[in-house]
This record gives sequence, C-alpha cells and structure tokens, in this order.
Amino acid sequence: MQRKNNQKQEEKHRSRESLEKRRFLFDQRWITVLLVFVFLLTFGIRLYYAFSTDTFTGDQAYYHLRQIEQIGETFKPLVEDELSYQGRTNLVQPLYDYVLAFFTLFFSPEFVGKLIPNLFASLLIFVVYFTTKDLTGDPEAALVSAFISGFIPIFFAETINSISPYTLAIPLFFYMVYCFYKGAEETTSPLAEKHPRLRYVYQFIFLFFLLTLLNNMTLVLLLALVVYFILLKLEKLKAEPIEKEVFLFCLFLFLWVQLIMYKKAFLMHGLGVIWQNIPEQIVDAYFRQVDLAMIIPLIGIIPLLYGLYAISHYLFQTKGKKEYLLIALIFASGGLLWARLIRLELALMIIGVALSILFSELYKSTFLYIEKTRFSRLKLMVWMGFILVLVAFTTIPSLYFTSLSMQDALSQEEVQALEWIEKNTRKNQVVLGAPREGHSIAAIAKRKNVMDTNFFFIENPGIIFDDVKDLFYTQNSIVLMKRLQKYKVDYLYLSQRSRIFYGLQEYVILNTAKRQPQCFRRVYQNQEVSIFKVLCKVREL
Amino acid sequence: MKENPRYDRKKVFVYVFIAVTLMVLLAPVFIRWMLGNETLLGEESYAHLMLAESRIQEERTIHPIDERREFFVTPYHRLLAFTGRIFGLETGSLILGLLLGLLSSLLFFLLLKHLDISLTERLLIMLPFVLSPVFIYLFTTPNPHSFAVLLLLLGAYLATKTYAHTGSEEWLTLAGKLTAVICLFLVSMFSLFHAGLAIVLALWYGIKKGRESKKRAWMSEWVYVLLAVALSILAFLIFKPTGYYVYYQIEHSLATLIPLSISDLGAYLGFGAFSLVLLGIGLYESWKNKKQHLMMYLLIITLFTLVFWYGNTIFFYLLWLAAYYMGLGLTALRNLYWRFTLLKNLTLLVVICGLLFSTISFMNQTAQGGATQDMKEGLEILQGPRGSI
Repeated sequence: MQRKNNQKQEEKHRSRESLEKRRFLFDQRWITVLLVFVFLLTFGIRLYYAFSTDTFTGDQAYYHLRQIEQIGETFKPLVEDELSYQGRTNLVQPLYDYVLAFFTLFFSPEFVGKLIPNLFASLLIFVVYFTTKDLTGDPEAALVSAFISGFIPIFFAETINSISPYTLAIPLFFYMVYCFYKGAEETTSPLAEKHPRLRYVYQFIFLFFLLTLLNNMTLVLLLALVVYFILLKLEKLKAEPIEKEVFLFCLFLFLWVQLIMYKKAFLMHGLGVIWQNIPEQIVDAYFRQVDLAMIIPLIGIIPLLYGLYAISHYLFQTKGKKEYLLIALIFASGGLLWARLIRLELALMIIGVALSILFSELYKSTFLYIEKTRFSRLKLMVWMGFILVLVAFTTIPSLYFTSLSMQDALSQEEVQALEWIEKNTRKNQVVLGAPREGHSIAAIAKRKNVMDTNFFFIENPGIIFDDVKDLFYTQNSIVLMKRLQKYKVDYLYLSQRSRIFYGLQEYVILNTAKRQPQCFRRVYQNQEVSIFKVLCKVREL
Repeated sequence: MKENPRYDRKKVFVYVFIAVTLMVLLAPVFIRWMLGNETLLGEESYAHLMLAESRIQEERTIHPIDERREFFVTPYHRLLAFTGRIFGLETGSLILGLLLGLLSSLLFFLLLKHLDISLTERLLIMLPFVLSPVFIYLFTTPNPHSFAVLLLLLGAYLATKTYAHTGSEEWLTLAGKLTAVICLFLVSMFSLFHAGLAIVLALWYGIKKGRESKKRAWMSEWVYVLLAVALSILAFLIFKPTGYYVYYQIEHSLATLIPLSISDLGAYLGFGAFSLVLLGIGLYESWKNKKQHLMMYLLIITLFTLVFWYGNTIFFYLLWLAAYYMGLGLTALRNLYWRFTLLKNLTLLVVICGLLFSTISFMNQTAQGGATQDMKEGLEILQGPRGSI
C-alpha cells in the first residue's frame, strides 16, 4: 500500500517537473537579456524624467544636496547648520550622503543627485529577480516580479527626482531579505561544509549595520522577524538556529546604534523621536492614516490582488517558510502604518516590493494551470496579454504619478528668485518662506531661513510653525511686524507654491505692503515669486 | 598544576564586584564635582536633609515646603541625622548612601546564593543590577527608600539564612527570624505601601514554607509570619506614616509612563533599554517553569500596577525582581547553543556595551541635573545672617 502511494507521489512529482520544464517560454540566456532590458528600461525612464528638469522635487532633496556638497568639500557632514532655523544642530544619518558625496569626486553634486539615486533604485530589479528566483525557482516568474518592482507607483514617483535615501535603502533592505533566505539555507544544507560558510550571514549583518546608519527601516525588519517567528510557531514550523541568532544579534545592535545616534534626540524629545519632533499641526501629513482606496493606485492593483491572494494561500492552505518572511514584512509595515509609527510612503514601498515578490507565486501557478489547458499552445499570446495588463495597471499609473510629482519640482522662476537673493543680499540676512521652502532657501539662496522641514532639536517647532503661518494670514500690521522682528526677518520670499499651500487667493501681506510702503519694498518679482525687503521695526513703548 | 591556596577565584569575583559597585556609586558624585557642582544629586535631596536636620535640632515642627505635600520623618531620617552628627549632613548623606548601597547589593548577592543560584549566574544577575540607573539613583541621592530597601533585604536574608542553619544552632535561627520580623516592623514605619509590602513578603514566606515544611515546622514558621504581619499593622497604626516619598506624585497613564520608565528616553529614574530587553528574554525563559515563578510574576505585576499611582519610585522595589530576570536573560543568551560562535561573542559584547552605555549616559545626565552650584550660592546669600529668609 505504502509502495503504491510512494509510486503515485513519484509520478506526480515527475509529471510536475516535466510540466515546469515544458512551460518556460524563454531559456536562461533570454531571461538574462530581458532582465538587463527591464533594468535599462527602468533606469532610462527614470533618467528621462529626472533630467527633464534642472531642479529637484521636494524640500528634502535640497537638504541632501547641501549635505553632499558639505561632505564633498570638508569630508564632514553638516551638523552645526548656520542657515537652517538661523542656526541649529542637525541629526544626521550620514551614510547616504557620504555615498553620494563620493561620486561628487567625478561629477557635479546636482548631476550626482539626478543620476546615482536612480541607478540605486533601478538595482532593485536585480534584487527582486534573485529573491524571487530563490523563492520560486522560476526565472520567468522572477523576471515578471522584477519588472513589477521596477514600476511600483509609489517607489517610482517618490524617488525619481528627490535624492531620497529610500533609493538605496529599499534595494539594500530586500537584498538583506535575500541574504536571510540564503544564510538559513547555507547553514542548514547538508552540503554546507562545501560552501564558503555563512557568507550570506556576514553580508546580512554588515548590511544591517549599514542600514541602521541609513534609515530606520531596520526596525521594520526586526518587527517583521518577530512576526515571522510567530507565524512559524503557529504553523508548527521550526526556525533555523542561525535565524534566531541573527535576530538576537541584530536586535541588540539596532538598540545600541539607535541609542548612540539618537541619544541627544531621545533625551530632548523622548518618544517624540519616533514622530521626528514634527509639530502636531502637520504630523498627520507625514504619518498618515491610510485607506484601501489610497493604497491601490500607489501599489498597483495587480500586485496587490495577486499578493493578497498569495498571503491567504500561504496562511490558510499551504506552508511556505520563505513566503512567511515576506508576509511578515507586509504585516509589520501594515501594523506600524496603522499605529502611525511609520511614514506612509516607506510602508507602501516595502509592502509594494514584498507583494511584487509574492506575486510570482501566483504567476507560476497561473501558467502551470494554463499549461494543462488547451490555451497552452497560445502561451506566448497569453503571456504578452499578461504583460500588457501589467503595463496598463502598474507602469502607466507609475508614469502618471511621476508626471504629477515632477510638476512639484522647483520651477525655473523660483530658482532665479533664490539666485537673486544670493547675489543681492548680505550673508547673515534672514529670508522668510513657507517651511517647505526652507531647505531651498538655504541650499540655493544660501541664506538663513526661519523654518524648514527638519524638526529634530528644535524647541517648540509648533510655535514657530504657527508664527510663520500667521505671517501669511494676518491682516494686523503690528502683529506682522512683531513676528517679523521676533525672527529677525530681512526678506519675504512669497511664491505661488506657498500661496497655494496656505490656500490663499492672494497674499495678505501684499495689502499690508501697499498700505505701508515705508515698511515693505518689493525688490524682486517674476511670474511665480515676489521678494520684499522688510524696512520697519516695531518699537515697544 | 597546583592551585595557589591564597588565590580563591570566587573571592576575587566578589572583590571585583564590590569594587565595581563602589565605582558605579561614586562615579556620578565625582562627575558632578568635576563639573564644579558641589550640590547633592537628586530632586528632593535637600528636603530629606531638612527633615534630618529637624531631628538633630530636635524640632517638633517641620518647615512646610509646599502645603500640599506631607513630610514625615522615617527611620531613614533618624539614621541620616545620626550620620549627620558625625560627618555633617551633606557628607553624611553621601557616606550613608554608599554604605546602604554596598550592604544592599551584598545582601542581594547572598540572598541569591541562598536560592541556590550558581556564582556565574549570580554575577550575571548582579551585572545589569549594579549598572541599572535605578540602582545608581537609589543610592547616590539621599532618599528614604534606600534604607527601606536595605531593611527589606535584610529581613529576607535573615529569614532565609535561618533556614540554612541546622538544629544545633537553634538560638541563632530564633534570633535571625526575630530580627527579620523587626526589620519588617521598621519598614512598615515608612508608609502604607511599605507596610503592605512587608505583609506581602511575610505571607509569601509563610506560603513558601508551608509548601516545603512538615506540619509542625509549618506552624512554627507561621508564628513568625503572623507576628511580622501583626507588628507591621501595629507600626502603621502607631506611626501613621501618611506620606510616600515620591518626587512627582501624579497618576500616570501608559503613554506618560513609557518615557518616564526608560532612562535612555530621558527618564531621571528608569531602566535602560538593554535591561528591558534582557528582562523580556528572562521572563520568556522563566515561562518554561511558570509555576515556580508564579509568586514573582504576581509581585512584579502588582508593583508595576502601583507605578500608575505611586510613580516611578516603585522601580526601587521592582528593580530587585527585575534584576533577577535580567540576569536570567543574560544567562540564557550565554547558555544558548549558538551555531555561530562569533555571533554569540559579538552579541554579548554589544549587550555589555549597551548596558554600559545606558549607565554612563545616565550618570552624565544625573550629574548635570538637579540643583546647581549657582543656585546653592544664591540661596545661601538669600539665607542672610540670621539663618532664615
């Protein structure tokens, strides 16, 4: 009886193997060519968008630009910053800026800011390919997953023109996931002694250390490992000893590095460090509540649906140790997002890439199923249709979101206005702009700002935020002058961008300037920006 | 190779441990002196000095600092007054803290020995314990809890020590147990919380003995227990200690409690982040023998719940139980079978570095906090020639 069963199982196994062999559309050489093509395509599209403008998107890009320039010149990061908030201490996670600064030996910082982050981000394709191939053993499915990961809308749009540390952190993060798989495999394999032992474990630990210097994503990874161990326990699977050992070591390493790096911040802000000391008024914009309608376009409907199916499949039908780590990553990011302990974009990037890897499982089973049907003859057509659907539901939304994001880049008029400030004002003078313009004032105009979007080590940033907001809203000229005096403002930088941000039809300050020409003089104007010089001071009687 | 009879490895460990404790307790004071601040560490040190001074001058009334606060003279203040008569109050408070700290840690060490814990494990328990910011704060700032803790430990030590003696030394057993009862009586003079804690410990001892002893022995043990309980209630009724010495007596919520409990997040009195992780590992490990640890768990939960009412000074009492589990966590890390030895060594290194980092960071923070030299000089000028403002 048992022999019969064994025979049946062997036959089943053989037929499955032959089925898998038969179904591949491309051989390994073609897949390599296609993979390189996907990489070049992604990288090319990224570069096309990035170089379509001379400026950057988002205020943080200009902060990183200043750091890169500073490191390039002095080999030290900009810790004591004289321009930000008219003088403050920066909390620097230096690795990313150092890496980019290295390339400034060969190119200009602006060029580096456009080229290198996009190169890093495009490398995600290879990481996803190898991880997926390791997971499924199916190079075709891995190729499709790699393609999807290259065009995850939120990752694509957020990282093209913004010198974002995520461009390096996300590929590193998922390469660590790959190392975790391979490390566990290598140490448990009967052939382990023949392999160069623990090669991937070393890599994992080294990268973990690097990632803690780059971004706080390591917390997500640690939390995901906890969820992973719980899932294994629930499914009555055993975690490898090396997995536990690596987790314990990384946990303590993470704690130690965080305590060293954030020591002053912890003492000053306590638990507020998690929310980066962002003022209460705007913390919701950074740590957002999320709904499904928002997630779908940002991740892409196809990877989301396929990924969710894969999750339910592995949680309720079959067991898959490697898949559990990806599921744990999704749960951990989702949990942190729900608790508003992680930024929306970061959580969605992790979830998006994890789903695109999980997607491969379903891709594999879909084509296995097609193989059994009469459609198997039309496999190439089906595959092409599949790719077209993917392009329609992931690539096109990515390009759409990228176009939107590129519109948010600093305009030529704004750059001209900032350059005017640099040429026509004294070095120690203070320029008032909206908080999100603070970094560009410091980076391009090279003048002191009243506020920007880095809030660490700033006492009561909420008060400064309200004061700046009042400056744009108040009609009371005494209040206006008092506030301007409080922050020693010499110039007002009034852009269309801030006007829209504050929801104003017209700047209230303009009326005040008309009423009191002796106090405000327009010194510069173009289509998008007006610059006023502050001439009066309020005297207390 | 013959071992040198004068070289006893265990003794060396104990001496090293005493030296480390001494260093840890002296370091914040020295750092403060080096920073040119000769005032006492802590938030309410001078309030306790004032109470001790009222004993020295035999004043019946205590100058009110704040009408909402009740100040009550405890055995600690009497002891401080006694030390103050010899060394002066400020120096006396430092010496007293140091002595209480050394004695308490030695008693804790010996108590662990009574619980049949090996020397290595004991040292692994003592490491996070001595490096804990709570321990440092308890014995470097003048406060009544330091003496209350010593009395509790002495009581526990004497109660368990007598158990170790044989029948030939019955009078010693009797004397020890009676001293333990007196210790609990003295502790009950501190506050309602202390009286409650003394009673709980006495009952715990009784229940534990009841399980282990035969009927007659069980009854004789319960005589001591009931005596301790009765005396604790009596002490509370006679001395009516209404105040509980907390620095900011506010009712906490879980959200406010977290930053107030972790010294690395800026808490002036809290546990280090590494200690808390070790505590978690220790509790996880102990769960395998959960029945044995049931009373400890209950006591930890009760003490932790009391933090919501009494504030984080409860950590002074929670520390001793927590340190035990932190030590268990450290032992578990050490004893775990590691496939990758390098990783094990690195992990232990990071843990020790992390514990040290929290301690040093806390020492610096404490040394720079509280009263300043300028403040003291200013107040001395305000005091004027008549000695009153």
